[in-house]
Amino acid sequence: MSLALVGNVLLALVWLFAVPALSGVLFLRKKDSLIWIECLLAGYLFLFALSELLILPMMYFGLPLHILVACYGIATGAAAVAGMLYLARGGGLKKFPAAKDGQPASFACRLRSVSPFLWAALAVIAIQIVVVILFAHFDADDSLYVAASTTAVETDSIFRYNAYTGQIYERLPRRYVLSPFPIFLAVVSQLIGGLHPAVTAHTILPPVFLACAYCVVYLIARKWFPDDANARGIFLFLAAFLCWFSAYSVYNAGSFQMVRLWQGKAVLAAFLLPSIFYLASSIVLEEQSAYSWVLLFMADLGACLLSSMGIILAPLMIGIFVFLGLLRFRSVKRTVLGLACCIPSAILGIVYLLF
Amino acid sequence: MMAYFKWSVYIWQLFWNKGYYQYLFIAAFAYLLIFHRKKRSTRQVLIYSACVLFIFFFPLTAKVIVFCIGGSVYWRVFWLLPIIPVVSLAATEFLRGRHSKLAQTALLLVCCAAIAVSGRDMFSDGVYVRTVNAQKVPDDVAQICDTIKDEAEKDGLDDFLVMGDEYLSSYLRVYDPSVRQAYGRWGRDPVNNPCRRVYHLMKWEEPRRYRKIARLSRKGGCDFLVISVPEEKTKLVERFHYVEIGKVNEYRIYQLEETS
Repeated sequence: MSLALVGNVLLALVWLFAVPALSGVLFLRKKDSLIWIECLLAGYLFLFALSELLILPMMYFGLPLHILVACYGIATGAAAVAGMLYLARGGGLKKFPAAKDGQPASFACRLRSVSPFLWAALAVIAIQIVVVILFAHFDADDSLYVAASTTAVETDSIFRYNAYTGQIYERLPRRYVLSPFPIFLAVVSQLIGGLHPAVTAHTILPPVFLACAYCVVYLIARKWFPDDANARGIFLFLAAFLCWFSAYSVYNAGSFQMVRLWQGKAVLAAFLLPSIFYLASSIVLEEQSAYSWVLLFMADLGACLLSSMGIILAPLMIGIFVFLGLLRFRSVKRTVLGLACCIPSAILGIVYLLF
Repeated sequence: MMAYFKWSVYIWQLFWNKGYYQYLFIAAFAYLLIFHRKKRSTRQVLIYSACVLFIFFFPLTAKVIVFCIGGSVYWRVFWLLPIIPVVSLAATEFLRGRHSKLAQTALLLVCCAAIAVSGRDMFSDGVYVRTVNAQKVPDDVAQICDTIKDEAEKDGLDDFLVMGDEYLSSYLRVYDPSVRQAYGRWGRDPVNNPCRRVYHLMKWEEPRRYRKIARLSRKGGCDFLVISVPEEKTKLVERFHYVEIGKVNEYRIYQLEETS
């Protein structure tokens, strides 16, 4: 392994794991106890939402890509530092289960307490991660989604050039520009040492988002089986196994998760919609929620970044939960807050349909 | 309205294709409804799933969604349905009812077998392949692109236009965005009218198509033409001042004489 590659991998760990996890801590201050995977989830919601907020105006004003990279790097870096300071000074570290009573539990002790079913699940997930890293899946949709990234990096611009041909755009493709996930990919590629966006898309992002997708599944398992570690292990194992055998059609979320987790719509299907499912059921349908409504708002905004489909699917999902919440609690405040979370989709949806 | 319902049913069949996951989902839903509906979280996921199915099949909601996203991608509404969580939840609830670890493990294996029979392995039948290039595009596309770039560099060409078929145009700019293409996937956004016409000709199987493709490519200003031509037909392309500079599998790479 060359030194440059090691550098790229280290930068990828920083920008795709450390930064999201640390910045995510800021949005979970309300919680009494924390685990890293929910910090990672909250962090990614923040990163996606921030990207949408940065990319759309910069694209409109025709700013170059390197300005976006700098702004994104500074903003997310600052959030990560703030998260770190909160952990160090604000006593946030005490919220992690490993540090109960101020005494960190020994690693060996924690390993011994892990359910064998969870080990089996982790083994299945590890195999999937190794496959997506070592092997390739060809998808012709890359001609737009990945080529838009490579074009952005090549021309140092944001959606100024046609990804298909390399010609300058006469008119922006409205369906795609409101969901500029390819530009997010270009930004990440630049931050992890200027790696070719196709390499980032096909080798770096799939294992990261696959891990994130299973983190969400684990959080769902934790919610449904709070006192049964064995059941959580079985649940995660079965979910991973179901994904493995999802090639029965090319339309299902499992299939998108397994073969093209570098495209915005696949990230939406595999990671973001399950995240919204988890968050909405934890926020809207719980009397006392440990999560903030801001997370749901960011999830909706993040869905808009990923795919034009997210602009309608995310509010549809939130809307169903708001409806169920209304039936259960008959609370106007809860309903208004829930609907407010759909404002980004509503605005972009109107732009999408009318312009 | 009936048309929308029929469309929804068609999409339902299309979505599940040849698998049996729909039966797993229905069985899991029924099992949870009968035996575990008293648990609040289970009841919530069941009601939520029922709402999604209602939105999907009810003609009025289907009409609104089809208006917003288009009928061709209506199947994506199924992404809202928690298929994997519901099936996993039902199986987990069933397994945790067994007290012996051995019984749990044995029944888990039975569940795995049921899943394997109902679905299809993601890692079979060439879904995943090995590539030599780090960008993970088809290796022949990478070789073609490298050949073109080398020739262009040799001839001092900074800006050049490449004409290829549907397969090439899908991956060429993923591998190297410095290459300009005559059109995109599905012939989208052709750079000029001759290029638009070539896209349609590329699909034909007529003896004269090579000559016409070469003539229009030249007219469209394509510096490089990548096409699969049988040996005996190469003269038809070369007549329009295209010179063969390389061959990758069935593809011949031509460069316009004036630019070389």
